[in-house]
Amino acid sequence: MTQPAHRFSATYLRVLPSPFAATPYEQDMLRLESIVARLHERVTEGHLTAEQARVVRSLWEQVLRLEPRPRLPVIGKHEDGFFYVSWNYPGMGLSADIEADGRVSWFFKDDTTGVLLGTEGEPEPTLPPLFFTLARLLRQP
Amino acid sequence: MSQHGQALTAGAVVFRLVRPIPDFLPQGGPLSGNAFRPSKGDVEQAAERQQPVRVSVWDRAHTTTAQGMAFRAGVEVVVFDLQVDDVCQLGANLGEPRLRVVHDELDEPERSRPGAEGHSGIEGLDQAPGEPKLAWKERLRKLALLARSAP
Repeated sequence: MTQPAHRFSATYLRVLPSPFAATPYEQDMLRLESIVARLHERVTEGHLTAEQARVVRSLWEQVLRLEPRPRLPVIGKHEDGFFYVSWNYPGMGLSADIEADGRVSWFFKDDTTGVLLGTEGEPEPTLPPLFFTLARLLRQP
Repeated sequence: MSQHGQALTAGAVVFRLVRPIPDFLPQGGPLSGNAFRPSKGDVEQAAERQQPVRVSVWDRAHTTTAQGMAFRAGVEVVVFDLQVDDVCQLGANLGEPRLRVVHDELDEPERSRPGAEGHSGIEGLDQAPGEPKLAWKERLRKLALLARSAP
């Protein structure tokens, strides 16, 4: 099967004019962009499902559209099989757990205000617009 | 020699072998709370043994990183340290008395291997009956913020 060519987002190319001048943040961004762009290649090896790869990529692209220089999330897989994208920083946490069928459970906590939001029941078919509104708070200091 | 289920002493440091390793972890960035979320296997094992759900960690006083990793041979891991005092303080702050670190004796043949005496478990990381899911995830998140990448 022909795989799509590896590509970086236009946003990222604006953030990083030259990989030789990269700061640690920019190096991480380069690595993250590469990993997200290649997630579909790991579907065939069973690391994640095609739906999980699609949701992660879509989520990341939407975040970048809203905040071109976001804090960087941890992306990974739990032993139980769900995939996660998680911004866990002192003061604020935002995360999405993605089931094999693409349904999501999300979580948000603002330590300053005590606001706690997210999926309390069963996973939802898609992330709500509120998730991406909150993602605007993720600007890298 | 600590007894099975006995709380680790003040000042102890434990390390967790996080697996599967995250696909992406920012340099110096905190872990996700999911690194401390008990698996279904952890919950089932606890039910079989009729003991609290425990997330596996290793006491640095009795186990080296290399010895701990030898128990996970062939599996890629990342290593993070936790101060036991910090875990206890978090439990107090959150009003979660279940949150503590205890000695967790391995079964044979693992019990006889080098470093086995340091095997421990963090209790109080499972979702308690009737506990809101978001409150549970917040506890995992706060614990992950306490973990430090091990040298």
